[in-house]
Formats: sequence, C-alpha cells, structure tokens
Amino acid sequence: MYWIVKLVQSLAKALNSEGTPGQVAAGIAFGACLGLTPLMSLHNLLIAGVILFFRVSVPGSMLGMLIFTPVGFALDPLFDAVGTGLRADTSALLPLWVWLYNTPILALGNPTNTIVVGSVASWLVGAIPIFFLARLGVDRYRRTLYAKYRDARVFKALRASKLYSVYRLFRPRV
Amino acid sequence: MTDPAVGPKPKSRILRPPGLAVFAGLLVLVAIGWWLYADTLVERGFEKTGTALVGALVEIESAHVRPSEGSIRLNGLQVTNPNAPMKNLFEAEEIFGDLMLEPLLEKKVVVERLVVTGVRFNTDRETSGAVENLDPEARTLFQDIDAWANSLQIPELSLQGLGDVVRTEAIHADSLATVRYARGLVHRADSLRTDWESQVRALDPRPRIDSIEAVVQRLENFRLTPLNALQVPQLIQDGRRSLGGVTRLQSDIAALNDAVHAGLSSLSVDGELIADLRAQDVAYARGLLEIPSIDAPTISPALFGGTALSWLKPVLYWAHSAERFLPPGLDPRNRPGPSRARASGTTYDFRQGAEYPAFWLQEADLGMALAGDGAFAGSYTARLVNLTSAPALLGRPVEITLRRADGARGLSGLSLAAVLDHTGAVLRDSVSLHVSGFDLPRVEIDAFGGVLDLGVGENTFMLRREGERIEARMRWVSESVLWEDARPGVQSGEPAITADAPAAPAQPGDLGQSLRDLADAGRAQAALGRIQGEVGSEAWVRDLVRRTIAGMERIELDMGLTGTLADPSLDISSNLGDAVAASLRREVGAEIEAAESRVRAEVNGYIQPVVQDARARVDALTSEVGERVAAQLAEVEELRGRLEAEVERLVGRDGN
Repeated sequence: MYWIVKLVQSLAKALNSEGTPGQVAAGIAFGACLGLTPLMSLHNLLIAGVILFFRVSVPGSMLGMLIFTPVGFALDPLFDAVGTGLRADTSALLPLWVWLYNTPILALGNPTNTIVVGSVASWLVGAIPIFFLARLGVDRYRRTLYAKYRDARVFKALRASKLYSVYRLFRPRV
Repeated sequence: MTDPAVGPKPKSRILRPPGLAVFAGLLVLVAIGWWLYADTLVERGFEKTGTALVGALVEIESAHVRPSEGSIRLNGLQVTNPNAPMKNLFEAEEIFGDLMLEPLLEKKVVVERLVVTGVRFNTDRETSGAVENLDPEARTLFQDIDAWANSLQIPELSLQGLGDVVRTEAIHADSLATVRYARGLVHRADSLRTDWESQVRALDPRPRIDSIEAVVQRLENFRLTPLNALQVPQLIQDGRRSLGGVTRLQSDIAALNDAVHAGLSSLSVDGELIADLRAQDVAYARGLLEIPSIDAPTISPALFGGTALSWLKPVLYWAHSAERFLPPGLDPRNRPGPSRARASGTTYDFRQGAEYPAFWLQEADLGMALAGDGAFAGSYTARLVNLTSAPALLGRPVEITLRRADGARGLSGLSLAAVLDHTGAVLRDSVSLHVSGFDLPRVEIDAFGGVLDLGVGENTFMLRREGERIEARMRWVSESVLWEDARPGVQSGEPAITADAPAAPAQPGDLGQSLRDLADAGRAQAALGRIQGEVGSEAWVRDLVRRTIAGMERIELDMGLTGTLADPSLDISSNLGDAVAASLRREVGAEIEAAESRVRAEVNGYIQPVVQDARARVDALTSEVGERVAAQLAEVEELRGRLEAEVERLVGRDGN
C-alpha cells in the first residue's frame, strides 16, 4: 500500500512539477538505473550524485526507480544472460573486465558480476529511448490532462502536503 | 542591499549546487553506516565464506575491524566438523590479522600476518553445526563422495549363523548363472534345429539328386554303336545341363552346411566358461547362506570398513576443496554472486595480470596445545605461508609446518609438514602428519557385538596427490586397547579386555583387567580347549574376541585410498583382522569348509543335469542335422564327379 501511495505521489509530483519535460525525463532515465540495476551498488551512488548535483527532476528519478524496480526483478534472468554473454563469451572485452576487476575503487562496484554488468549494459542501451519516450509522455500529459485537471482537489491536496514542501527544495527551476 | 548594477548571481541551468551538499550528506551516511555495521558485515562475510569452504557451520563470536590500523581481530572461532555436526574441527580463541589497505580498494584481502591463539581440535559443540542450505558446489561434492562410498563393496562379517544348520533351500536353480547358460544353450539348439529342418525341407535336395542320378546312370549305360552315334550330342547336352543343376544344388547345400557348421560351433559347451560360472554360482550361494569368510584380507575390511570410510571421506572432501579454493592456472573463475533481494548472478574473478590475488594469507602462526601430562604435551606452533586463492599468480606453494613453541622442551609428539603446490597445471599436494598421544576412536563391531576402544595411541597420516592421482594413508597404532561388550547391563558387571593399561593397574573385578592378566587367562583358556559356548552364539563370539585380543600386545590399523581422485580404491589391513582370521580358522575352519562343500555339492546338483542335457542336445543336433547335410553334400559331390567323367568320355567320342 505504501508503495502504491508513494508511486502515485511521485507520479503526480513529477508530472506536475515545474521542471521541464526534459528534466523530468532525465530524472526518469537516471531513476531507471536505480531500479533496473542492484540498488546497493557503487555505480548507483554515482547515479544518485548525478541526480542530486545536476538539474534533473528528483521526483522524476523517484518515479523512474519505482517503475523500473519491478521491471529489474522481472528481467534478472535476461540481465544474467546479457552479463554472461558480455563477460564470458566476448573475448574482445576481456581486457576491460581484467582492468575493472583489478582497478582500485572500481573493483568495489562488483563489475564482474553478471547481473550488475547485464543490468547496467541494458540500462545504458535503454536510457536514451527511455529519456525520449518519457519527455514525449510528460509533454503530452501537461498539454492535455494536466491543463484540464490542474485545479482538481487531488492535485491541490498533493501540492499542499509536507512531502511536496520538501520536494520543492529540489524541484527543477527554469 | 544588492548592487542593482551587478544584480543577483545568475543560477546555473545545469548544476544544482545544494545537491552537492546533499550528496556529501549521503556519503557521510554511508560512512556512518559502514562504521556502525562494518564489524557485523565482516563477521557475516567471514562466517558465510567459511561455511561455504568447510561445508558446515563456521561461527565467530565477534569481529573488530580497524581500517585505520589495517587490522582485524576475530574472537571465538568455531569450525564445525562437516562429518560430525556436534563436533568442532577446531576452535580458536582469538585471531589477529594485519591487513594491507591498498588491496582492500580492489576488493581483495591480503593478510600480511595472522596470529591465531588458543587453537583446540575436535571439541564438542552445544548445537548442531549442520547446514541446511549448503553451498551447491559443496553439496554436490558431498553427494559425489557419498555415492562413491556407497558404491564400495565392504564385506560383511557375521558369525551368528555359524552354528546353524546350512539350509540350502535358499538356493534356486533359476538364480544360478551356469543353469541359465546351459538352458540358453538348449533353447538355442532347439531353435536352430527347427530353423535348419525348415531350410532342409525348403531345399528338398532328394528329387534333384535322384533326377541327376538318373541322368548319370543313362550316360554310364550308354554304349556307342553306329546305330546310336547320333544320340551323343544330345547326351552331352543333357549331361552339361545336369552339371549346371549339380553346381546350383551343391552351392545351396554348401551354404546350408556352412550355416549349420557355424551354428554348431556357437553351440559348443565351453568348459572354461562353465568352470567360471560354477565358481560364481558357488560364491553367490555361499553369500546367500551367509557363511562368513575367514580369509584375513576380507576380515579387516569387514571389521574396520565403516571406520575407515568415516575417516577417509573427509580426506577426499578436503582434497577436492583444496582444488576448488586454491585453483590452478590463471583462467577466470566464476562463483555465485552476492546474496541480495535481486538475483545473485555469477561473479567472475580475473586473475590474469592482477597485482594481488583475491585472497592471500602471507603468513600465519597458529598456537595450539597438546593436552595431558605426557612427554609430548605442551605448546606447539603451526606456521602457514602463502595461502592464496590464486597460487599461479603468486607462483609459490602453500607450506605448513609445525614446531614446538619457543621455550618448550621435551619430545615432540606432533609433527606436520604440508606443501600444496597448485602453481602449475598439475596439482601436487603432500601432507605428512604424526600425532603421538592421540585419542583414537572407539570402533563399533557389530559382528562381535561390542566396541573396540583403541584408547590413546599414534596416528600417522600421509597424503600425496599428483594431478588426478591420490594416495592417502592413515595408520593407527595402539597398545592400550579396551574391548567393551555392547550387551545391556554388561558395562560394569563383566570383565572387559585391555591390551595394555599400565596407567590403570588392574583391580580385582575391575573392567580394566590388564592385558597380561588376560593374556595369561587367554593362554589358560586355550590350554583348556576350544572356545566356550555353541558355535556362532553370542557367548562363543565374545569368548573368541576376548581371547584374540588378549593375545595381542599392539593393535595396528592401516587405512588407505589409492587411485584417481574421482574413484579411489579403499584398502584396509590390521593385525587384529589377521588374528581374528587365524582364531576363526582354528576354531571353525573345519565347519566352514564342510558348509562350503555342502554348498558346492548343492550347486553342482543343480548345474550338472542341465549342462548334461545341453551337451546331449548339441550332440544330437550335430549328428542329426549336421551329419545329414554333410552326407547330402558328399553325395552331390560324388554325383558331380561321375557326371563330369561321363560328359568328358562322351565329348572325347564325339570329337567336340
């Protein structure tokens, strides 16, 4: 239940925020990395840093993470296969893996695990399409649904909530 | 007031500076989390890795990590014996290690020096250390070793049936290989007879032979006169046509004759095979009747097979595990990824070109004490160097040595030297261990209805491995053996046997009656005559064991594994087995020989008629079908000769 409420909140805030559709879409694309790849990984610390330091939509990131977390769980077998393919069956990439495995700090990110490699590679491939699709979706939403229902009680209630106040601290500004 | 000319500093459209502070806060949170939970994480990681390595629970009471000092301290280590979950392989009070910090950034553990104190072996556990969700590789290894152990044929020794009448009703003709073989011959002979007879009928050579015979006679009776000279060409033509017929007939009969010969040769009763099968049948029937073998080479495995397996199975497990955790070569190795809510996946270790292996224990000192008041008791230090997960990268073997602790005096009752060389493609391991004052185990011997307590003695262990070949040998020597009757209520009421117990002088009515007393008693009993009690009865078995052990001052047991690592053979020998065999031969050799003769006679009784019947059937087939076909072939050949001669004569007269 908590996750459903959280999802709805994130959805509403991300889509209705003052950030540009591009910022929201970038947030969703970066959040997809948090959802698709194992969360407690070193690269996700970097992604979190990017989300916080660059003007991408934080609620958008939360939304991306919430949407793509179940997708990540479901696609683990695929990520394992992709990771195994990249790891074991591609001798051309061997120097890269050896370098990652033996490089300080990077080695802590578990860069030779098939799930990590497969999910990160899949995210890298999918991030650009996710970004453009999300931007298109947000743009259309704002021009149609949001314009029509912006004064609805639900949106007003969300804007009045405490969480929204906290969120405003990080909301994208144009 | 802000200068209106300058105005507020424009905000970046790309960066969000406050986010940096938040990110820094996040990093601080991560650092605090590490500081709070590092010990717990290390403790759990150590226990998990150790459990996967040992195949049973590995526990530590606490772990203290000091990254600033590059040290780690573990307290209260317990390593469960995977073959006895209520025992610890060893315990250690404290483990202190100096770590290299740089490799930690590569997620590699390099321990420069490890000091282990308070090491104790084979201690009792309060709770079971068995693991339910065993590491899959370890589970497979255990299953493989168990399958190997179950496949071994360890002879059984039961003396209970010795006094019984040998009941041969258990032997059935159908279960004897010789009978099955002879019946098969008979069946095949009948089948071939039917087949050949149908072929002879189909061939039906008699009318054709008679027809050719008529032509031959006509040619033979022909006398050339001027009046019948014109008949000669016709006669020659008839003769040549008949010759063609003879050739075809001869070919058909020859083909049948060859088939008959081949069939008959396959039906021959092989004397050697019959002898082998008979021997198999006698052995089978002997096993069916549970007549015990009294051969010395089978008695020792029967007495100590289970014990040997329980002590040598771990050797196999550790030999396999050494290869698993100290793998040769530099090829990437894979292992299950970390446990998490998400799938674990597989993690690959790339050792090629690495500066450090994933794990490297440069040197370790293990302090241990040998308990007791004997000359060998005291402090010892085991030294271990170059234990690593990538021996080929290091290029140096693992070495383990043992010495008396500094300052300690006296004889060394414990010696250990081990070299595990996994630096090349061919693994070379050698281990040599000798322990004096070793608490040897108690061996339950069901056949004798008691327990042989080997007491305190010497344990020598040797292992040599080269590639896939392994030779492991464990030798126990005891001069303080105690035999305990397993019957209820006998523990204190009846005297037990000790081979030698100088530390516990014999008391009147005491269980620990000394060997000398019992040896004297044994000799006295021997002087009185045969062992008391009905042959095969409990009293008889007990008396036999008592007297056998009483006559021994020293018991030696050798257990060995030789062959390939995947399927080694087990060999066991003991002077106790030899002595028991000698006692049995002396006491019941004649009875067993008689019982075996009876079995042989019974088996022969089943085999003889069937084999004779088979021989008779084959002989009859040879004479009836084989000789008949051969006679027909000879008859046709004779006809052909006559026909050729007549045709030649007529051709000469005719001038063609």
